[in-house]
Amino acid sequence: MSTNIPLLPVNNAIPYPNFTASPTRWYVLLVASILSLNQSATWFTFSSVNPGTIRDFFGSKLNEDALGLLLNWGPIIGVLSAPFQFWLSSRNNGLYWSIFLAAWLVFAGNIIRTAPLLVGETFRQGNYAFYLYQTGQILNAIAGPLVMGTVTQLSISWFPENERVLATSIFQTSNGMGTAVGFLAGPVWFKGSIISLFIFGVTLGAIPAFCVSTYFPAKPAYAPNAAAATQAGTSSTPNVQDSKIPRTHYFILVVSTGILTGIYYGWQGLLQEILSPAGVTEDSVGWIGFSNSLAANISCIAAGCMVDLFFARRLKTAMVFGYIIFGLSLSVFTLALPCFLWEEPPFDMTANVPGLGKRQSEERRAGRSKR
Amino acid sequence: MLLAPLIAVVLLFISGVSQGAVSPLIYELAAELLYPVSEGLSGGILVLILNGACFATIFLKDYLDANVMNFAMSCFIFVVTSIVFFGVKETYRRPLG
Repeated sequence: MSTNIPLLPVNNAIPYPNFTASPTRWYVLLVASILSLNQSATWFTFSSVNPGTIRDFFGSKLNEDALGLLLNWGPIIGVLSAPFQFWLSSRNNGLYWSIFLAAWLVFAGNIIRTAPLLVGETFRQGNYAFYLYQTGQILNAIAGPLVMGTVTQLSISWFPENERVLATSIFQTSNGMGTAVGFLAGPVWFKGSIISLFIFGVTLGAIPAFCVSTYFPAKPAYAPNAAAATQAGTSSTPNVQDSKIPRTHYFILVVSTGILTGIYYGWQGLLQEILSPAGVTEDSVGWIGFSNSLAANISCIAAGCMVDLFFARRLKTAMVFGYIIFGLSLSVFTLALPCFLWEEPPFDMTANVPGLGKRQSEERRAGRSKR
Repeated sequence: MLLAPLIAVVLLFISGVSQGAVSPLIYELAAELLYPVSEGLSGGILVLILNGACFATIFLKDYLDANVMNFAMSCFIFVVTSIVFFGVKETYRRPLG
């Protein structure tokens, strides 16, 4: 029989053998995941539609530079609002307030940027509307660190030890799925109807905003794991010396992997430019990018299950293993493309595809000899 | 065409799978290494660095060729793998249930 551990700070330093996970944890994860997905999809909306369609609908103000700025608000505001996220998440019920605020920021951002679309063409292509689009994207961008920075906080607060990495994976991958949803929503689901696309964002934003305002517990009634019990003061507190252990390894980890992940996200946006010199068509690049993004999201959840089962407390081994495969696959990819270091790619992959690339490869050589 | 789209899809699928699989582990290990400091802070600092690097990459794309970025990206993965392997000592101070 498991022992329920109240989260109220009662007798300190009492070890408890078992912990109880509340079924509500799945509801909390679902709401947070919908929020995270919509935050990412909202960030990507303007970039998911053909720039020509955007200009026809929003007018000449939304040119390439303006579209770039709308997308760049994500990382810019993400950096600027990070200290606020640090402060908020460290406060009492920090997870609850982070999700609550993020839900309303995303919802408000969606409403603000959608309202001009319902007024009329003159207004939606005017200066005021232009500022409203920017404001909507900025509000949504402020929510970014609040959802992305609290993934582990949610899983540790709500999930038992054997489901923790899975919960982290689901919450985290929902943000990536938002980009995939954004990619499909504009051109495929709504067939280029921009008003429908924006109303979809408002509707999706209303769900978490409604949930956090009506029922969204700040913490479970009973601690689901020892760490949550410790934080609530219901189990033995960490050794005081623990807090004096240098955090060097933490900073080495987050600086190196954080830079790599950030570059990777930016690099994904460059696929068009990377693959075009190799003669890959625009459509193919779109599907290649989509498969890359989808694969990352699916494997993120699969990895969560695997790590909970086989790599618990051996995270570094799993990470290094994953990075080696990551590095090898991208290296082969790089070696098959034109580069500043070699004239002819060391791996000409098309040689293995009958009738596909040989002719064009020869044409390319001929073109070079003409120059 | 030098790179058949199908092969590009397979290679990028594999890279997507491996990168996606590593992603939640970074958050988890970061939370473990910073324990007992709030997981919101350990994840928040990671997101801050990630956003900064993402912005720098988007900014640099106007100044660097895409193929340079591609080459640098491939090399940087192995640099980071080495840093994690040799430079990060995993410690688990969080009590187990």
